[in-house]
Amino acid sequence: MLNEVKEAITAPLEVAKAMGITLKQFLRGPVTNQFPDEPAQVYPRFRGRHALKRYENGLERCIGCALCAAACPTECIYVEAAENTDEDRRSPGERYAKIYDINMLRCIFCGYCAEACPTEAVVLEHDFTLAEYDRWDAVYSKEQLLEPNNPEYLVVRDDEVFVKADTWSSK
Amino acid sequence: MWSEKERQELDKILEKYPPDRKMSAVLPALYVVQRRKNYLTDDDIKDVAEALDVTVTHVHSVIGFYTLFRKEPTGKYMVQVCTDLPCALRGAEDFYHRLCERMEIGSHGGTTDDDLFTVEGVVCIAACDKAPCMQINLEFFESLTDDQIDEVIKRLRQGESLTAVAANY
Amino acid sequence: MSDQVTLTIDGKTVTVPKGTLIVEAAKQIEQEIPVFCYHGKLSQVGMCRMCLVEVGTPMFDRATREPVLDENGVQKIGFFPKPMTACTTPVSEGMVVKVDSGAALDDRKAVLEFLLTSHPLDCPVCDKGGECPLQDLTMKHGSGISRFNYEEKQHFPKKYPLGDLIVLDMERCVICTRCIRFQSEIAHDPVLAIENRGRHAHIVSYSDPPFDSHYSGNATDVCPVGALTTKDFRFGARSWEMKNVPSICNHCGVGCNTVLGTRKGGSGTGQLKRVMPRQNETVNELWICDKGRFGHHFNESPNRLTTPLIRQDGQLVESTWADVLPFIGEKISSIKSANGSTALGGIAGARLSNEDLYLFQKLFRQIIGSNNIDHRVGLNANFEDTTAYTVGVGVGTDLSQVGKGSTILVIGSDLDQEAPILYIRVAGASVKRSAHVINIGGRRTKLDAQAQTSAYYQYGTASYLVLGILASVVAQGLVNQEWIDRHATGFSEITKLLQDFAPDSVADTTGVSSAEIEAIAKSYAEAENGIIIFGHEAGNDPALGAAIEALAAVTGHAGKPNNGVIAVLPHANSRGAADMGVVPNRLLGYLPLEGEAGLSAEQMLSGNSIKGMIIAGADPASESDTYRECLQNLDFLVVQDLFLTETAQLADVVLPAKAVAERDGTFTNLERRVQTFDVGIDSPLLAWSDWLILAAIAGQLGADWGYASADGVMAEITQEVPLYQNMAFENLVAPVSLDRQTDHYIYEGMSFTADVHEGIQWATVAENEQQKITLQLVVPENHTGSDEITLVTPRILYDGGRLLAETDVVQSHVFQTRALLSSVDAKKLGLNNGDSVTISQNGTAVNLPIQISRMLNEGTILIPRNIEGRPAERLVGSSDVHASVKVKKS
Repeated sequence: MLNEVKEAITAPLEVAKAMGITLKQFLRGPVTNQFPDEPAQVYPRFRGRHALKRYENGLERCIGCALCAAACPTECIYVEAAENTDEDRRSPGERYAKIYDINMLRCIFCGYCAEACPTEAVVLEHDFTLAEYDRWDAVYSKEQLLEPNNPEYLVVRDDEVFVKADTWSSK
Repeated sequence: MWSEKERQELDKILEKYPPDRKMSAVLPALYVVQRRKNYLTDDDIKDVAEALDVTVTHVHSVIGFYTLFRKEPTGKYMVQVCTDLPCALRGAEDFYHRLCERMEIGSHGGTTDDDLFTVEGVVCIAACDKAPCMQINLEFFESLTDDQIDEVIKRLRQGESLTAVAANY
Repeated sequence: MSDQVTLTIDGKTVTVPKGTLIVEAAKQIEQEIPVFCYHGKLSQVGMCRMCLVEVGTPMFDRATREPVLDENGVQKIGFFPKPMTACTTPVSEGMVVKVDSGAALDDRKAVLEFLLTSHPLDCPVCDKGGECPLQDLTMKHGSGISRFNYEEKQHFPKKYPLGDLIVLDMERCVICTRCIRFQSEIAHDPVLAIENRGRHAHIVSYSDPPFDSHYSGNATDVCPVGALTTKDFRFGARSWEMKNVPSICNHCGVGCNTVLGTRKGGSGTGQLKRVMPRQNETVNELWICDKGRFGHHFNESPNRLTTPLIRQDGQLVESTWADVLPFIGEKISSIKSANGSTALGGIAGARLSNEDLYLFQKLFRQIIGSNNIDHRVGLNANFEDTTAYTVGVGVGTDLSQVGKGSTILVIGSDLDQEAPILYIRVAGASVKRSAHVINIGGRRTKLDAQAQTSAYYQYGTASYLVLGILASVVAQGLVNQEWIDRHATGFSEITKLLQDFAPDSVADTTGVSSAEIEAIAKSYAEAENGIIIFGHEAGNDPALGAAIEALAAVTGHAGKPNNGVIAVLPHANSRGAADMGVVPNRLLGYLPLEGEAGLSAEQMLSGNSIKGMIIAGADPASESDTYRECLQNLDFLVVQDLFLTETAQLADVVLPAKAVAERDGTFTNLERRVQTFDVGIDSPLLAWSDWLILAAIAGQLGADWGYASADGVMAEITQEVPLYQNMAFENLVAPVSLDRQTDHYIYEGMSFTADVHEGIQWATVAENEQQKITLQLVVPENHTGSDEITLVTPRILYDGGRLLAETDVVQSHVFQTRALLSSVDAKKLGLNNGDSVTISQNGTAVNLPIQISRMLNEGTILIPRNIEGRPAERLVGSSDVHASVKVKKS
C-alpha cells in the first residue's frame, strides 16, 4: 500500500525529469559538423595519420629498428635501415630508416606502432583526410611522414574528459 | 731485430723450455726486448712473436694482461700504485692521488715533465698487507708515508740508483 | 665399473656416459641450463658463470668410507657450499643437481645483472636483436632492474672494424671468448685475443691484415651477443623479418649447407640479406667459410643478364625468348645437316645442377647425337676423377667422427684454400680426436701445423710417391688379402709392376726418403680407418688416380664408412658432372660408352672440326687465346650464363640463366652426397633455369620432354641412373630424425631451425657385393728433374672468378696478381718483396711483382690459377698444374 502511494508521487517526477533532458537537447541545436566548410574538431588523443618526429636539432628520431613493423597487426609498415655516416647524418645513433613506408589503406590506426617505438618517433596525429584517387598514393613514404602536418581544417578540442586516477581507484 | 747479445740471452731462456713449448718463454723474452727502449714497439713485439712461433696477437694479449709491459713511451721510472679494494682500505687511493699531486701530474697518473717518472694506478701488486705501497720498475716500497715519497723522489732525481734507494725500504 | 652414470637433475633421473658435462646431461632431459661461454664444439672455460647450478653428491664418512644415512636410512646428499658451473663439471654417480631452485635462480639473476653493467640498451638497433641469447636469457632470468649506475658504463668505440669483414662493438661484448676459441681451436688461425683485464678487457686482432682468416664470419655466429657483426649485413634486416630458405653453397665442392636469409622488399622483389651455415654434422658441422658467407652479392649485381641477347650486324642486341629459341633450333639443325652431328659440341660448367647436367648430356647424346660434351674447363683443367666411383669414401662417412686409430692421407692439396671446410674437419680430426693426419705436398701448407707427419715431394712426382707407398705396403706385407679377394681383381698383375717402384727407387725422383715412405705406408695400411684426400697440386697424371685406387683397395680402406678416397674437385657440382656423364668418353652413371668417344673440351676448343657449340655456365674464352680464337671462328655459339662473360661476348645468342639462390635443384658434393637447394629470391624477370633453357632448345629440335620442374627431371634421373635411384626430391628433403636434432646447438637464440635433410650418398663399387674393382696401374709420365725453377699453379679461395668479382665486400681479399717466391731463390736472384720479375716458358713471358714466401721450398715459384690476367694459365697451359720456368729480374 505504502509503495503504491510512493510510486504515484515519484513516477510523474521521473517522467518530468526525462522529458527535461529531452527538452534540453531539443534546445541545444544541431551537432552536425559542417566539414569541410568548417574545421573538424578532434580530441587530443584521436588517432589519425602518422607522423615521424624530429629532435629539436633537426635530427630524425627514427632509428629504423622496425619494432613498429613488428608490432603492427596489419603489417602495413615497411622499414629498411641504413647506417649513418659523419658526412650524412640523419639520426643521432648509428642507424636510421632509409625507407619508412606506411600503407594507410591497411592501417587500422590502433596505435601499436607508437606504443612500440623506443624513441617516440612515430606518433599518430589528427589528420583523417586520407582519401586518394590512386591506391598507390595511400602508401606514405618517409618524406611525407616527416613533414609537419597540421592542416587548417582540424581543430583539437580541449574539453576532453580525463578520468582522474583517484576517482576510479576509490570505487 | 735481435742483437747478438739479446739473441744469446734468448737462447739461454729457451733452454729452459721444451722445443715445442717455446710459447712459454713469452714473458722472459718480452723483458729482454723491453730493455731496448723501456717500452715495447710494434717491431719489438714482432721480434718476440717470430722468435717464439706465436702470433703477434697473442703477444699483444700477454702484454695487455701484465702491467709491467708498456706499449707507450714512459719515464725512466715506472711508479705503480695499487688502488684495488684491500689497498684502498688502507688508504692507498688517497695516497695515489697525493703522490700524483706531489709529482705535479694532476691526480690520475701520467709522466713528469722531466720524463723521469711515470705514475700509474694498477690493480694488485701483491702487497696488500703493506699498503700503501708502490712498485718502481721491479723494486717494492711498502707501508709508505708522505714524507717517504718526497725522499724517494728526491734521491732518484739526484741520480741515486734505484736499488740503493730501495734498500732503505 | 660401468661407463654410464646416473644422476638427478631437478628431480628427474638421467643416465649418461661417464665424463658428460652437467649442461649436456641436462639437455637430454630438456632441462635448459643457460650458457654464454659454453659451446659444444669449443673447449670449456667457465668464464661467464651463467650456468651456475647447485651440485650435491652422496655423502660418505671420511674415515670409514661408509655412506652417511639420514634418519630414514637414505644416503645424505652433501651440497657444495658454492654453486658450480654446469659447463665445466662432469657428472658423477648419484649426483643431485638443482637448476631451477632458490640459489641457482638467484645466481643466474646476479650474473645477468653483472653482465649487463656495461651492456648498452640498444637492442632496437642491434643486428642480434631477436636472435640474441643475452636478450632471451635476460627476459627469462633477469631481474628487470639494475643496481648499477648507468652513468658509469664502460665505453668503447661502437663500430670498430676487427677486419675487413667483421665489425666489433666492444660495449656489447660479454667476454665469453667463443670467437677467440673458435679461431684458435677450429679455424687454427689464432688471430683474436683479449687485451687488458677486468673492465678494460677487449677483443683485438693484430694480424696483418687484421682478422686474417678464411673463417672469420663464423665468429659472428658463435657470438652470443651482437658484439661481432658482419659488414655486409649490418642493419640489413631484423631477424624476424627474414624468411630462411635452405640452400647449398655454390662456391666449392664441399657442399656446405646454408640458410639464405631473404626478405621481400617494399616493391615485392626478394632480397638476399645474408647467408648463414645450416648445421649438417656430416658435411660442414656448424661452419661455412667467408667466401660462402660473403660471396653471394653477385646475385644483385647490376651486370646480371636480364634478357636474351642476339647478334645482329655484329652487335649483341636485346631480344625475346620467343625470337631466340626458334633461331637456335634452326641454326643447330642446319649445322647438323650440313656438317653432321659431330660438328656440334657442348661445354657445361660444373656449377650447374645435376638436373641441368643430365639434360645437357641428354640433349647432346639423344637429340643432337653427339658425344662432344665436357665439363672440364677452367679450374677443372683436364682432370677427371673416377676413384670416387670405385673406392670413394663409404656411405655414412663422417669426418667429424674420424679420430683415434684413423689415418688421413692428404696428397697435393692446400685444403685451406681449395676446400676450407674440409680443412677444418681434417685439422679437427687430427687436433681434437687424434687421428693421424699425413700431409704430403710440394710445399708447406697451413695443414702442416696440425698434421702429425708432413712430407714434401718434387712437383710432378706425386704418382711416383703413391706407387712407392703402394709398393711399400705390399713389401711390408700389410695387404688386406681378404678384402682384395672379395672386392677386387688384378692384384697379382699390379704387384709385378710395383717392383719398379720400391721406396728406394722412387726416393730420388720424389725427394721423399724411403724411410718416410715406409712409415707413411705403415701408418696408412695399419690404421683402422684410412681416408685419402687428393687435390689439384698432385697433378692430373692418369697414373695417380689408378695408384690411389689401388692403394685404397689393397689396404682394404674402401667400401665402409670413414674409409675411401675423396678427390678435391673445384666446383660445387664437379662430382655431379662426372656422375651425369658430361664427359666425352663415358655415359651417365659411369657406364661405358659404346662406339667412338667424343671430343674433350680442350680438343673442341683447339681444333676446327666443331662448327656450333652450346656453352652453359663456363667461360673458356677468358682462359686462353687459343680457346678465344676457336670460339670466334665458330659458325654458331650459344652461351647461357649469369653475366656477359668473355665467352658470352663472342656468342651469337646469349641466354640469361638463374643463379643458385633463385632456383631449385641438386648438387653432388665431394663425398658423393646429393643435396637439394630451394628457391630463395626472385631472379631477373626473364632469366630461366638452365634445365628449362636446355629443355626449350630440345623442344625446338623436335623433342617432347615435358618437364615441369627440377624435381621432375630428378625423377627421371632416379630411373635412368642406378646410382641415383634413391635421390628423388621427396627423399632428399625428408626431415632429419628428432634424435639428431638434440645436438643442434647453434640454434640457441637463432631465429631459424634445422629440421631439414642431410643429403644422401650413393654407394661405390666397393660397397656393392656384386661388382668387383679391376685393379690396374698406369706407368707415370716420365719425370725429369730440372735445374730450373718449378712454377706451381694452385687453386686459391679468393681468386679472380666472375662471381667474386661481382661481390664488392670481399674485393680487398681477392688475390692481387703477383708471384710467390721462396726466400732462398729470392736471395739467389737478388730480389726483394715487390720487385718485378720476368717468368718465361716456351716463348711465353709474363711480368709480375713478387712476394717472398716462407711456405715455399727452394726452386719453387707460385702463381695461383684463375687470377686477374690469367698468368698461370698462360704459362703452364690450361690443363697442366706445374711447369719448369725461367725466372729473372726485369
